[in-house]
Formats: sequence, structure tokens, C-alpha cells
Amino acid sequence: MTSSSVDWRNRFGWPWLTQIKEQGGCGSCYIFSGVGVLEAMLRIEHFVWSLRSEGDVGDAISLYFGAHAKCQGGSPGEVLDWAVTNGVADPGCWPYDQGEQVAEPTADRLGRTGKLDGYVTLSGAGNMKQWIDANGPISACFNCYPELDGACKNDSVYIYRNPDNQPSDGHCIVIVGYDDTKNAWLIRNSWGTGWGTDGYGWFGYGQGAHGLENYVCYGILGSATNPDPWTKRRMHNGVLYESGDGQYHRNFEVWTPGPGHVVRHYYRDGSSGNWALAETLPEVTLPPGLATGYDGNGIPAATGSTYFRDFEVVYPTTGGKLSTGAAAPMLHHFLYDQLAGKWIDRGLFGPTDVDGIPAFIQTNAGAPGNFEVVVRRATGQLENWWRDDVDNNATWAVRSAFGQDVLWSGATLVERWTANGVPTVGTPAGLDLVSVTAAGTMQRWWRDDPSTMTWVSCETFGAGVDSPPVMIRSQFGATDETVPGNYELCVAVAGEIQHWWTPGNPQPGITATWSKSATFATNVAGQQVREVLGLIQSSYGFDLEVIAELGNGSLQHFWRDGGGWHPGPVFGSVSA
Amino acid sequence: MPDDVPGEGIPEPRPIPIPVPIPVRPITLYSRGGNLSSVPLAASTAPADLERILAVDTSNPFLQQLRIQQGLLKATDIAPGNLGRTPITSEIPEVPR
Repeated sequence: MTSSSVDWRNRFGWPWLTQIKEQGGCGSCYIFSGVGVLEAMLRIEHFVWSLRSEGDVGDAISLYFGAHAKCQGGSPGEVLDWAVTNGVADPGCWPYDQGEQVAEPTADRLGRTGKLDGYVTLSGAGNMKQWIDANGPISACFNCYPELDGACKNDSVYIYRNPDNQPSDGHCIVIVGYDDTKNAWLIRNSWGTGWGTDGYGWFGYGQGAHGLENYVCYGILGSATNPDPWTKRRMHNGVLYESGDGQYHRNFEVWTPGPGHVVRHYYRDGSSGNWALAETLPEVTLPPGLATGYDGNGIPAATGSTYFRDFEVVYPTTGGKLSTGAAAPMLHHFLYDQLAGKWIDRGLFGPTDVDGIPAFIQTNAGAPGNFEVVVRRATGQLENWWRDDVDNNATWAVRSAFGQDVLWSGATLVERWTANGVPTVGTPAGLDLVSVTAAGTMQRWWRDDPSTMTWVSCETFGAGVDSPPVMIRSQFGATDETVPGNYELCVAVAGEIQHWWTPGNPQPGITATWSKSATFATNVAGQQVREVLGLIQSSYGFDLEVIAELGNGSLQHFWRDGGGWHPGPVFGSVSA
Repeated sequence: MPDDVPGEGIPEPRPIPIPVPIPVRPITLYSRGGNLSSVPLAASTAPADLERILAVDTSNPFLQQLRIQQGLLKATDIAPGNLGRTPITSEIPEVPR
């Protein structure tokens, strides 16, 4: 039986809708309607704020339909047809503007589009309610009369009256709920927060030719949505990444060391929940005269990049088999080319005395965004390398060295939050990083991108830490797409995993308050946790997922849901 | 004979063009943009078979529970590893315990 009321502005105790938008003086409501549904479903199914751009659709759809101009009107069905083929990018890739123009998105558009497999056409109130209740918001159009302009104030319900017999025009909105007590649908308009009740309004059921049920509506099944790597770039670190692969677009990918210096790729199928070995990364191609083989020698770090959603992996090397013969452990970069369907060796980079776990991310600096790596050297210093992905022919270069007596580097590099979360390409947001000191405490570092780009030491926290930490930015605390979520950090201490967090965007010069949320252990008899290898916030209801290495080299999956932390399956090994 | 050349007698009256009706659009405070001619009427479209379409798993544990409660989804059709995760109903998990 369908629920008697639904309100996706806040349902199940969580917010699901981005801030109200404004189409301005442009007849583009149909785009806001279609894109609004995709945006909501990405959040509802994958638990991530994923702001999409109506301009990305509107300024490209003009070409798609020939002389059609985005402000001259259209239907959400046309928008969704286009989006099924092309996806919808974020405003940083190409923003919405009221003017008529041809889209010129950033070069990495294919890696920053929220995708959908298809959509469903709904007909009649029964269809509409059942879909809104059991899936999410829908796109709807109706005969709109001038009286709607001033309607829906203070949660009042709009009922067609039109005493002056004014003509109507077509208008499209998103239905984000309903209430059988009010006998009304809850609509999300694209007329700014000044319209209705903070941009929303109640629209009476029925009303025949003047009602929301008069025309078909459109819905997107949650499992048909697939968020982009750019949207999720802060929500994973280390060896673990949730890709868009699989039927439900929620596969987990893991890269770990294996015997014989290989790098293995495991995955968890999002349909079956089963872990399996996908492949071993190929042997490296060495210069003439040197042996071929594998050169992995440590914990990798991986990400999904905006280069066509490619997988990118960086791992420490043996050093002895490569380069010029001397033992020079460096970093090796591999990518999985999603278009070609194969791994590509992108060569060595980094210091020649790597002695730690690399942190590896793609930032918002440029489009495609730069890669940034921080790794511990044998000297006990941290070294920051970067790859300029726009202006320097994708060449790795050292940026700076910092710190001393560092015990562990870890996969803790996270891009800081720009002012108001504005997703402008190239906005210097800075980076945060956590390392482990020789004294066994954790140390946060901040890279001062707005000015000198130097690394500044911040607060320390924890004690007795004897392994590398992993850190992400989660969606907890992110009340909408403009608000930064918390930092979540997991680290193995004395054979157990500690989970730490701190709210928001810790400011430089201000000591952030870190709290230890939980300590948990493996359930494998006789084993302890050696180190945490990867951490994500997954599509599974804001859950945190951890991959850890046990004392015997086994790999174990842990997750945290509303019931706390749980030990999951053991699925592989770094030593067997 | 061209019209502008004076001729004999009174010229034939020119036909008065009949104005083409211009679609009347209401004057409104806010822009619209829905082309309703491209949106089918619900009365001419059969309802979607949602018992079938919604009988699929979702990553959202709230909706997974709701679909099972409403008989749309069978718990036995969901892989054990994806079933029964406890929804996080607030940020309580962040509180030390």
C-alpha cells in the first residue's frame, strides 16, 4: 500500500534535493524538470550531492534538435532522451545561462557526466504516487495559468480558478512528494526561492485538464543512474573505489599487492555482493636490455579519473628491476583505458627513495584536473608530486618536500572545499593530508593553494599509531551541495581499526577537533588488523566501507551502517 | 500594368490581407517553456507496470525496506550481501559509542 504522504525535501531523516534553482527569463522549465529528476535520483540511489547543469543540456540540445533553441520551450522527454545518450555534466564543466549559446564544455566532459540507462513514462495518479513513494521524484508538465505566479505562498494549495479566463502556457516542474491529507502534490519549481513557499508549492490533486495528472510524467529508476568520478572524487581513498560498473553501478574495485611483485585487481559485484579477482595488472615494459616482469612493492593508491572514467593506479616499485640498475624505488602509474578496455603503462615518476604509502587524487585544478601525489621518502620527509593535466603535456613533476621524521604516509590526501562549494574549474581550494609522526600521533597538513602552495602543519591527534591512515570527505554534515561533509579517517592501532572524524572544512591556523567514533576488530580467529588499505562512502545508504589487511596478509571488507561497524568477507590476500 | 503607373479610370481596390492569428501567450512574471504538444496525454497512455519495474533492488536501504514491505520486492531476490543493511537515520554513527 502506497504511503499517504511523501516529501523528498526531507525523508527518512535526510535531505535529498539540491537548492532551488532559477531558470530566469528563458523558456527552459522542461530542462530544469528533466535534470531535476536526474539530480534527485543520483542522490537518492547513490547518496551523493551531484549538482547537474541545465546549461550542459540546453546549450547542446539546441544542436541536437537543429534550429531548436533552449529558451523556446521543449519537453522533459526530449531532455531525458538526450541525457540517456550523453549524460549530464556539472556546472563547472558548462554552466547554465539564460542566453542562447552553443555549449563548449571542458575537455573532460565524458568523465564528469551523471549518466542514466533510461527512464519510465508514468500515467495517472496511481502510477505517479507509487513511483514517488517507492522510487523518487518525477518530471511533470501542465497547463499553467498566470495565477500560478503568486500561488502556493505559506504552504497554501493551488487550485485552478482563472476568473479572468486568461490563456495558459505549458510549464514543467518536478513533483517531489504528495500529501493525501492536503489532497495535493508537492512541486519543486524553477522560479527561485521567491516563488511559492521557498520555491516549492502544493498543487491540488485532480483538476482535470488543468491538473498535473493530465499529461504523462517521467521517472528515472534509481538503479539506472550512474554518478561520475568527479562528483565522487573526495569520497574514496587508497586501494578502494566504487566505480559505475555493474548492473547497479555500484561495484567496488580494489587494487592490492600480490606475491611476485604483482598488482592485483579485485572487485565486488554490486548485484551479487560477491568478491572476485578481476585480473593482475600486466607486466611492465622495460627498456631494451632489462628484464620484463612485475615491479610492485607496496600498497597502491587508486582513483577513477575524469579521463573517460578511467581507473588510475599508482604503486611503489621494487626499484631494483627498473630504472638504471640501482635500487631506486619510485612510483609507477598505470591506467585502465575504459574506451580501449586495457591497462596502459604510464611510466615511473616520483622520488627515487620511496618508502611509504602513496596518497593519490585528481583535483579540480584544470579540466581534466591535475593529479596530486604525496609519499614518504626514506629520509622521513614527505614529497608532493603533481601532474599538470592541461598545460604541461601530462608530465609528472615534484612540487615540494615537507615534514621530517614522518613514520607513515597514507592515502589521506583530500581536496579542500572551495567557498560555498562553488564548482568552478581551477578554483584553488587547497589540500589536506594526514601523516603519522615518529611519536605515533597523526598530523594534519594543509597546502596553502590560494597563495604560496606550501604545506603548513596543523593539529595532531591520536596516539600509538603504528600504521598508515586513510581519509576521505563524507556526506555526513553536508546538508546540501554547497556544504562540506566531514572528514572520516580509519587507521589500524594495536591490531584494531580506529575510526576518527572531524566536521566540515578545518581552517588553517585553527585546531580541528577530531573525535574517535569507534574501535573495531576483525572476526577472523587469531588475526589482527595490520593496516587499513582503503576507505569509501558507498552508494549503500551513506555506509562507510573499509578494506584492511590482516596479519596473515588476508584482505577483509568491513562496513558501517546504522548498526555500527561490521566485519565482512575475507576475499583475497597480499601474500598468497 | 504596374500599379505605380497612372492608368485610366479608377484602379481596382487592393485586397485587404487577413491577419494571421498570433498565438496568445499570457503575460507572466515567471518564464515557462513546456511544449505540451510533445507531451502525451495521460488518458491516451496506459499506466506503466510498476509491479514489474519496481521489483528491482536499490542501494537505498530505506527504499529497499519499503519495496519489500509493499510487496514490490522479494527479500529472497536480493543477494545476501546487499540485504538487510541497517539504514542510518541520522548522524548518530558519528557519535562515539
